[in-house]
Amino acid sequence: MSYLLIMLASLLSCGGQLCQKQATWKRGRRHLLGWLAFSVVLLGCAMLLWLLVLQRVPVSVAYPMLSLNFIFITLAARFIWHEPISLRHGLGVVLIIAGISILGGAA
Amino acid sequence: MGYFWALMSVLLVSCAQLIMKWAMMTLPLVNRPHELLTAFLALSPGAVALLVGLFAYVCSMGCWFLALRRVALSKAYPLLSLSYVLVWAAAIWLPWLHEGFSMGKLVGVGVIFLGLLLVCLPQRKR
Repeated sequence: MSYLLIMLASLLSCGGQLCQKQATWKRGRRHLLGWLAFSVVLLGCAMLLWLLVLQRVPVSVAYPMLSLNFIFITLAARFIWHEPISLRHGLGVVLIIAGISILGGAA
Repeated sequence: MGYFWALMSVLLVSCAQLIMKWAMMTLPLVNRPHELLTAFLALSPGAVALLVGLFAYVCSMGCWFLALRRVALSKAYPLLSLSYVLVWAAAIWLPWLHEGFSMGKLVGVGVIFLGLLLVCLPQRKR
């Protein structure tokens, strides 16, 4: 349950970052402010969930798990914006997943 | 100067996490909303700590913005991975959080750190 919350918090904060990227994508004040506002809402929700996580999980376990962000961002860059992912970057993502699994197992 | 702001941002975000952790440990559990609200309205130490932690978090975002105006994102990014190791070490070392050390956790954090470096370090052009 707690790990699910961490994943959800990470997904929401990624969503917030993607909105910021989307905000810079097109010109126009309305476009910019709309996406920025949405980004703030998502980041706010992510923070509330995160505070909930902190009540349940040691921060020395939960915080390193937030590196999930890098995995979600990589996936988004690959599949939404079709950015190329280098071999080294892919290897890094695999290591992050392995590290999170080890950490979860040890906690 | 850009690296200074990036480093400040990393330190602030790490402190913010540790302060927020202490605050959430001190405050009543979220599934007791009434007690939580009372603690907030009375400005209990936990509530004040939470506000300080959130403020530190916002400041770290400000520092990150200042850093990015001076250094390329690809050069500042690897520094961020430091914060994961910093928070892990501080949570174990600080007496008021006293989280347990275990070899498994050390290996997990180490592997995550390596992965982050692979993702974040700027690619050398051949």
